[in-house]
Formats: sequence, structure tokens, C-alpha cells
Amino acid sequence: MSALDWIVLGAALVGFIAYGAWRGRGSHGLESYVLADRALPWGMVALSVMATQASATTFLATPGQAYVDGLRFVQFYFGLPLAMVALSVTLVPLFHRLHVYTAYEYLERRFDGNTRTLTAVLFLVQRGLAAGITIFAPALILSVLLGWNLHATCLALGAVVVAYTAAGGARAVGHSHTLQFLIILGAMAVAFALTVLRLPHGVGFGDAVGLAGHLGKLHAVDTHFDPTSRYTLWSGLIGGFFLQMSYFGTDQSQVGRYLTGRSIAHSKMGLLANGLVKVPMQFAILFLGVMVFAFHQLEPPALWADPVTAAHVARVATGDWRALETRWRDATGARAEAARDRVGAARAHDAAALAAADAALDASVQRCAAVRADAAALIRARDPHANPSDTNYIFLGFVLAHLPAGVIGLVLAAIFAAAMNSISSELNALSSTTVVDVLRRLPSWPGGERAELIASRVATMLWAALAVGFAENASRLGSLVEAVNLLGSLFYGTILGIFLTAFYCRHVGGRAVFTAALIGEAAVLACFKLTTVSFLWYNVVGCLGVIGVALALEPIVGRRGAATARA
Amino acid sequence: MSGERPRVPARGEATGDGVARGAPPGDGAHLAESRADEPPPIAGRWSRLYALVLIELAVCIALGLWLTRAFR
Repeated sequence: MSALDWIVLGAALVGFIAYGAWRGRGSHGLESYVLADRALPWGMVALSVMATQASATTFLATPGQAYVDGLRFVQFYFGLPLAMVALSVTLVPLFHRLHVYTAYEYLERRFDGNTRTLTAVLFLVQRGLAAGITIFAPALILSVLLGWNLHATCLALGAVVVAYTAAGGARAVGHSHTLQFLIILGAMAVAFALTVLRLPHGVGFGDAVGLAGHLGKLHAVDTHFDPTSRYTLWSGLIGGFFLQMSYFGTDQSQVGRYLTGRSIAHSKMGLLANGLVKVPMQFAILFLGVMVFAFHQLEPPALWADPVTAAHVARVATGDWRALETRWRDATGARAEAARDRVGAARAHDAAALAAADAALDASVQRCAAVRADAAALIRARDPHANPSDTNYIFLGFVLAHLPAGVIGLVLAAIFAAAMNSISSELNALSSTTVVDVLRRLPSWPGGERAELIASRVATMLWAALAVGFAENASRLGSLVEAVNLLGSLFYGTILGIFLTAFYCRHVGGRAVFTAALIGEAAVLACFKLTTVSFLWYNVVGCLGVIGVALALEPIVGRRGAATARA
Repeated sequence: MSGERPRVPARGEATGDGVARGAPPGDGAHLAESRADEPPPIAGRWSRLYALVLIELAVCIALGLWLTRAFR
């Protein structure tokens, strides 16, 4: 990195922390700390909701996901706009009128304290682990970039975020999100424009699109109904709808964001703005990955995008790795030549030349894939604990190698901003759920605004410590963007099922739904361990499982509970 | 439990905004009030805004399908 990049990155980080600390000053009680006095306008709510969901993983791993797997990951988000509309009609007005701090408070009034506690604990486990991944992603950048110790880097990042989050609470979080998300969008737009401008001489945007399209990277929508296929139109619309309903309707890191709206209308508008922006934004980020892919067809990349793993294997298996690198240079050279021939043939509208170039390109792509497979096998053979995927390093590697000074610092600042956005929301939600749904309900809790504020700040710091601990092991999870969503899918369906039962099955009581939640969660974990069903469907299994079992159990345990109560 | 939670009324208790905060959801009270919500900042009516979100989703899916088929 150049001095200019360091200046840009350093100034951005200092600015983020100072702005968050300044805007968060004066938090004087739980409502102020947890919900920013419920006073934010819809624009700020919208940016905060978007910033919370779009973590560093989104900007770091999503382009790499598109590079490897094409645009089809966009289907994952198709259920989101549907969920935004459904939540605006149902849960948002309800939460506002109940004047709750957390979503789980509602469950005690509807069912009982046990159901509230179970749901809050499921959230705390899931979100506490996810916060670890959120910290790990940008820490990975620094460790690779600067050769820092990954564990120390995770710790440092957690400490930086906790500095203003613990002090300023939701107000610091909401205001920081607005500034940081605008910088993120600007940085990604600059990166996209420069990626296109850096294409080799004589190759334009349309040529790159044609090249990526021929190699299958523009397959955005798969209409086949296959539960074992990870991303299809149906898994996105149905599974994605359940996942997003659960995430935005029952995950306190999001509920806490839109409850900061100054009225029901401002909260609803914030969510609907997210529904309008999210799919096009994800499409643009994925398309950036496709452009990087097209660029690398013409300008060969390194054999393995993770430089630390590559250097380790090159050290312990020097001869084998060198042989692979030689094969890689030959294969990617042939691929670049075929790609240029294809661009020329397409521009000349020469069908015969285009067919010949396509055949040569396909053959060289297969050769490249074979070399990569051999490299992955060698890495696994030499180090069984090494990450078998370099997806997360692809975009970063491209930025460092090909974007100009200053822009590298800007992109890194954006990735840091994204990490800070998500981590701060998660810590704020974990802290508020711990205090409101667990500590305040203890018989020995002393009470008082001062005690609540201190407990919230201490909880923020403790959750940050736990998240950092989990981050230490996140490198073994493969693609980060998939890992974080898989983790959410293990719990979200059950939580959503509890809420939908509360909302629509009015005759079902606490005993039935509590038992159903345990059975539903067991079913989801069984799907995860014992089947090949794609993770998006876990949300459907958990949700419908809880509702179905609760409806079946209510005539049995509900009647028994009433009899016990009468006795 | 904290003794400082008077801001959450008991189940069924009336509140200043005309809704029983502790009332079970789905009893129509909150749905009735949602009809009286203030209008959205854009589009005039909530139903138009919901339609806008859904139509944009349909357009995105259609564009994705077109892109997929164009390069199949």
C-alpha cells in the first residue's frame, strides 16, 4: 500500500470513530441507549437497516462469490422485498404500538416468560457467533495485507468498534451508519468504474460481458425446482422470504434499527426503501465480481488468491508448487489468447472465428480448472487445516494488484466501514437483548436507569470479547458470505415460527409453542447434519415445523396445562 | 424483575394512543389503527408503495431471466 492509501484509510477510520463518539454522546437511559430515543427519520432508518445487513462480508466475499459461481447468488435476495412489505403491514406497527425495546418482549405478553427466554437465547447464540464472522472478515484483510497476526487483528478491530458502540449506544450506531454507508456505496461505484476502465486495450464493457456470459457467469435465475440446489428462483423467493422475514422481523440487530424510527411511518418507509434498493445493489456488487472475472480471463491472476496459504505450500512442497505454477502460466496464457481472439471475432461478427475461439477458450478454461483442482488437492494434502477455498481473497487481491493508489485505501476504508456498521448493530442488539430479556427479569436485578446503562455497556464489551473469540476460528468456514447465512438459517426458521404462531394462531398457548420450538430446532439441526437439503430451506423447515407442531400439541398440552392450573 | 418498567402497561390496559398495548395481536385493534397511519413520504398511499416494491422485484427477476437466457 502507498502512503496515500494509508492516509485515506487512517483518516477514514479516525473520522468514523470520532463521528460515532460525537453523535452518540449524551445517552442517558435505556431508551436512549437501545433505541436512540425513537427519534430517527426514515432516511436514516433505511441507511441503518441496509448498513446493518451489508457487512464487510458483503463487499469482500460477494464479488468473489460471483467470480466463482456467477450471478446466481442474487436469487438469495429475491425474498427480501416480499418480506419488507409483509413486515410493514404486520410486525412493524405491532412493535411500535407495544412500545417494546426488543422483539422478544412481545412473546412474554403473548405466551409466557419461558418462550421469551428461549427465543432470546436462540437469538443470542446465533447472533453472537455471527458477530464473530463479521469481525473476522476485515481482520483477514489486514492480516493478509500487512502480515499482522490474525488473532491480534481480530482483537484490535473488536476494540475499535466497541469504543464508540459501548459509549454511545443506538444513537452512535444510527448516525455512524449513515456516513459509513454513503462512503461504502461511493467506494464500490469507484471500484466498479475503474475495473471496467482497467480492461486491456481494445476490450470494452460489452466485450467483457460477452466473455463472462459465454463462460456461464451471467446465469442469474434458475427456474428449476431442486431443493438440493443452493440458489434457485424458488429457494430465493420462498426460503429467502422466510429467512428475511425472520431476520428483519425477529433479529434484534434489525428490529432495533427500525424501532429507532420516529413513527410507524418512518420505520415502515425505512424497510420499504431497503426493499427497493437491496436486490439492485446486490446485483451490482455481484456484477463487479463478474467484471473482475472477465478481467482475469485477459490478464492472468496468481494461481491461488490466498497469498499466505500459497506461500506456505510453496515452502513445504516447493517442487510440486512450482510445477503447478508453470502449468498455470501456460494454461492462463492460452486462455488469455483465446479470450482476445473471442473478443476480436465477436466484434467482427465472424461466426466461424467466434466458434473456433469459443472452443479454444473452453478447452483452456478446463485446463485452468484442472490446475486449480490440483493446487487445492496439494494444499489439502500438505495442510488438512488450511482453508480449501480462496474465494474471499479474490476481490481484495484484484484491488491491491490493479487499482490505483488512493482508491485502494478508499476500498479498504469502505470494507472497514461495512464491518463496523454490522458489528456495532450486532453488539447493540446483543447488549439490549441481554439486559432487557435476561438481566432485567432476574429476581435479584437491582433496577434503576443507571444500573441498566452500565449493564448495557458491560454487556456490549463482553459480547465483543466473545465474538472476537469465535472470529479466531472463522477461517475454517469456507466462503464467508455463505457461512454467515448458513449460520442464520440454523436458527431463524424456528424463531420466525414462534412469532408467526404468536401472531396468527391465537388459540395456541405458551406450553405448546415452547415444546414445538424445541422440536422445530431439532428438525433443523437434523436437516443440517443428516441431509443435503440447501440451507435456505432450513428456514422453511424450522418455521413450518414450529407452527405445525404447536397446532398439533395445543389440544394436548394446552388442555393439560389448563387442568393443572384449575387443580 | 426491575421495578422500573411502568412504561409497559399490563395486558389489555388502555394506552394513550388508543390501543390496548397488551392486547393479543390479531384481535383487530392494531390492524384498525394501521389503517389510520400517516401516509408515506412518497407515492401518497402505502398500497402504491407496496406495489412499487413488488413491481420492481418482478422487473429484477425478469431482467435476470433475460440475462440468463441471452447467454445460455
